[in-house]
Formats: sequence, structure tokens, C-alpha cells
Amino acid sequence: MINYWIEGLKIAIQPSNLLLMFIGTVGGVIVGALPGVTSSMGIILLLPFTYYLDPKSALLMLAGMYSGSMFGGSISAVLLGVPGTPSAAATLIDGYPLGRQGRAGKAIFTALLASFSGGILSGIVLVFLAPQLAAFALKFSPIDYFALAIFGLSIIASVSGRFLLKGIISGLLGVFISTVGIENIRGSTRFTFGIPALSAGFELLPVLIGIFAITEILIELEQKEKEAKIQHKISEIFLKKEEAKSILIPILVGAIIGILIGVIPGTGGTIATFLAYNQLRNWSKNKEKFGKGALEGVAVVESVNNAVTGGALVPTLALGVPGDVVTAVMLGAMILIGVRPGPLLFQATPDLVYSFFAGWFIIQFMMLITGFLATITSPYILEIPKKILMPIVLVFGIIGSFAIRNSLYDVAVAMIFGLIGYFMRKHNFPATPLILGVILGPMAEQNLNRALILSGNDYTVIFRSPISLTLIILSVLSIVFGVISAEKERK
Amino acid sequence: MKLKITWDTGIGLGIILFAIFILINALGMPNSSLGLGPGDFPEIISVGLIICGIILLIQGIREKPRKIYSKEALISIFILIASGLLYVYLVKYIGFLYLTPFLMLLTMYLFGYRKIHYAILISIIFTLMVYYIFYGIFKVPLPSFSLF
Repeated sequence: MINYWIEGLKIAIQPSNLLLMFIGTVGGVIVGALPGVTSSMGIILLLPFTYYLDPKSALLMLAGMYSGSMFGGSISAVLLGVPGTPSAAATLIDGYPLGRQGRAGKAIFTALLASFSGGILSGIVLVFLAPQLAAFALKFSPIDYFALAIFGLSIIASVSGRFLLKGIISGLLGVFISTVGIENIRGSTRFTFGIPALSAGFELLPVLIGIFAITEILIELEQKEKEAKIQHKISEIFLKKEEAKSILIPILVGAIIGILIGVIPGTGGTIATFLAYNQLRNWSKNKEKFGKGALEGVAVVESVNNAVTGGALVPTLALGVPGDVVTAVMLGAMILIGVRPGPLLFQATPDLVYSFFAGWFIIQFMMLITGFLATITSPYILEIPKKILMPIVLVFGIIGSFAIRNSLYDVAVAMIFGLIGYFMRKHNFPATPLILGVILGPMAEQNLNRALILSGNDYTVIFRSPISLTLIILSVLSIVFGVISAEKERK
Repeated sequence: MKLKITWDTGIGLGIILFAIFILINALGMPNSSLGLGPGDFPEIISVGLIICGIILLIQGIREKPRKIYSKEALISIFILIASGLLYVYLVKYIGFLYLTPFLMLLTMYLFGYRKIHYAILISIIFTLMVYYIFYGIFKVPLPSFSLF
């Protein structure tokens, strides 16, 4: 165990890896701060740069992007009144009024401290829990994996919010997309309709680039008149003693809620931050301050956001089932750089896992430093107009989809999925279920096939394995939970 | 009551038709005596889609029709996607280095950027940068101009 840590730390502190993590973190903070560029998009656009790296280094760089972008969203929430990332939407409630009171610097600094604490605390849980979970999951039989894939798909219910039906449709379409091309069971081709290019199926990356990057460009193109203006100036940054004291409890509360939400797949999403915010307001002595510029409000939300990241990586790394929207993209990214998350990852490549763990903590400290620098320079970062940013994103998208296997066909796929994603967005079909379907579809099909061969076509095997039965029950609960909260949201 | 066609009704119908199409295709695939046949899984998906499509169609009937698209936005979106696809077609002949600045210029124009000198400068410098990183450092065989 200790050996693993020493090995991992050695890899993580190699100068080249430190540099890559740093670039990733800086890029993440900037990407997070820019409205219109989300964490998912940042991870996807960074991918083409990581193909040529060793998987360990690539993973560390992506982790930097992931953590950094989670904090970055708060900068634009405070300064522009526009959340830079969807998860920073709740940061707006108190962050923006704080800016209006001339306390923008303090608000962002609070967000930074909270993000840092959330990242560190959830990282501790990650390194203790993920290996345990992975060890347990080694006992899984094919039918248990099938049930796990179904459980993973059931988080569609929570990520779809009030558009549950459309989320399910989107997920089913995703599973269908994964069946196009040569299938893994008999090696025959499916749904290619005589088009040779389709026999290779759809690569995951062009689909991701299409739906997360190209679609975003099209949405921005539609709203091109609206360019957000910087509303507030940064003056004081550091907190007074009593201010620092006041955010301590909110950070802890946020971290605990964030970790729980992250670890249990299907409870995440933007709703979680609002939930934690409301909870803390109810407990607080000075309720009336909330919503009018309470540092506590910013602290709890940002702590939740970054605690979710570490928490959500537990099921992602140990089981290969993402906990929320961004980890779904992270999971796709890992597969693309040649890291196959799941219980075997911990057995086969402990050096990779532990270098990631060690890197995770280093990244949090890097985020603290770059976040501070970004706070000072943010007015300049936010000056980059979308008119220039979006064409750049487009070129990155083209390069990224081309470079995965040097094929122009993939660039065309990205363009087409960009358009599909645009229409989906306009009609409120959430995109994440589609991605979940593409990732988890093959896992479900192949393991169901294996399980049926082992049991001689006996479908009741699903209910005879205690693990798969538990997972199926959890999936049902997750869907019921989703339906109930969808009903609540509609009212 | 007059029957109005809303977006969701139409989409629901489209999904049902698409799913039936998948189903017919999947039913034509060979069966397997043990384990899943290649068509079994797509059959389950298509049945699921048909059920969801029907529900969406019914929900759509109860909805009020609403306007979702603006004409100008749609035009610029189609121009962007069409030029992206045209780019994919042309880049084989013209090469990444020469074609990309034009795509960037067009995109900036669509976004309403009108400082033409800056736009030209940005698109050339950025293309060179990306070309250097991916072709020079990462050795990605980007399409390049060739007479033959």
C-alpha cells in the first residue's frame, strides 16, 4: 500500500508531470471562468493534446483541467453575473450581490478557499474508498456488471431534471448509437446500410466534441448579441479573521454533502448545490443575509461543487460508472487516453491509480495558487470576446476529432452531432443521457450476453445474484427518486 | 377542437418511425441459440423508443404550440455546419494550413466580428500555432496541400 503511494508520488512529482498538471489547472481555471465554455468542453478540447502523452501524464493533466474548471466558474458568477459553468449557478445567489457591495475579491477568494477544501476533503475520501470499492467489485460476475450498467443508466433520471421522458429517449438513442458498426458478440456489422464508413461505428470523441463543443458554438451563435459585461471590480481579496471564521462551518457542511452526493451515482447535478445551500440557510443564525451577499453562501456552494468532483470519481474509477455529468465526460476521456476505469484498473495499473491520487492533492494546491492569480487577472481573461473564442473552439474541435485516428470522417461526424445536439437542446432533450448510453450500452450488452451464455439463457439470473439484485433495486429507487423530483420541479 | 401539431407531437412521431425502422432491421438479423443474437439488444432499445415516442406524442397534443426557432439564427447555424462539412471535403485538396484561416474568418464574421484586419491576423496566427503544435510536435498527419 505504502509502496504504491511512494511510486505514485514519484511519478506525480516528475517535473514534466508537474508542468502538465499546472497547464491543465491554469487552463481549467480560464475555461471555467469564460462563460460559454463548460468543464465538459474544457476536458474534451484538452483531449487531443493528451493523446501523445503517457496515460499517467494525460490523466494528471485532465484532472487539473477538471478541478480548475470547477473553481473557475465562480469567477464569472461573481464578476459577470453569469455562471461560467452550470455548477456555479448557485454561486450566483450570493456571489453577485457581494460583487455589487464591492466585495467581489472577497467572494472569489472565499470560493477559492472553499473549492480547495472541498477538493482536499473529497480527495481523502476518494483514496480510501475507491480501492475498497474496486476490491469488492472484483467479485462481480457478468450479470452483476450488466446490473451495474443498468444502474449507471438509471442516473439518467437525475441528470434529466424535469425532462425525464426526453432524457430516457436521449439515453436510448445513445445506446442505439453504440450498436452501430461491428458488434462485439459475433463480429457481424449492424445498421451500416452499406455505408463503409459506418462499419467502424461512431468514435466516442467526435460524438462528444459534436454534442459538447460544436453544439455550444451553435447556441452561442444564436445568442450572439448578448455579450456579458464585467459588472464589478476586484478590490480587497483577503478575508478578515471573523469572515474566515464564518465560512469554516459552511465549507465543512458543503464538503460532507458534496462527497455524499458525489459518491452515490444519480444524486448529483446542479440541484445538489441548491439543496446544500437551502439546508445551510435553514441552519444558519443569520438567515436574512443569505441571498443578499453572504460569504457563507458562496462557501457552501463552492465547497459542494469541488467535493462532488472527488466523490464522483469514486464510482467512476472503481466501477466505471460515472456519478454525474462531468464525470461522464471524464470517463469518456479516460477511455480515450487508454485508461479503462473499473476494478481491474486498481489491480493492473496501481502506479497509474496512485500517481493520479497523489497528483490530485498537488493539483488542489496548484489550484489555490493559480486561482489566486486568476482572481487578480480575471478582468482581462473575461475580456476575450466570444466572437474570437468560438472560432478557436471550432478549430480545436476539428483538430480533436481528426487526430484520434487521422480521419476526416470523424470531423464530419462531429459536425453532424453538433447539429443534432443543437436541435436536442432546443427541444429540451438533455445531452448527458446520450453520452451515458454510448458509454454504458456496450457494457450492458456484452455482459448480458456473457451472463446468458453462462446460465444457459436463463434470464432469472439477474435476480439470483445478490449483487445484481441490489443494483437493480437501487436503479429502480434512483428512477423513482428522479420521477418524484421531476414532479416537484414541475410545480 | 382543432388539432394542432406541436413540436413534441412531431418529434414523438419521428421517434416512433425511426424505432420501427430499427426494429425491422434488427428482426432481420440472425438469431442465436445461446446468449444474445446481434439483433436482440437493438430490438429492446427500439421497443423502448416506441413506448417513449407514443408517450411524447400524447403529451405533445396537450401542449400549446410555441415558436422555437428564429429564421436568422437558423440560417447562420446552417451556414456554419455546411461550411464545416465543406471544409471536411475541401481540406484533402487544399490542406489544413491554407483552408483553416478561411473557416475561422467566416465563423468570426457569423459571430458579428467586423474588425477585418484583426480577424485576418488572429486566424492566421492561430492556425499557424495549431499547425505547429499538432503537425510539428505531435506529428499528426494533417492534410496538406499537394498538386498530385
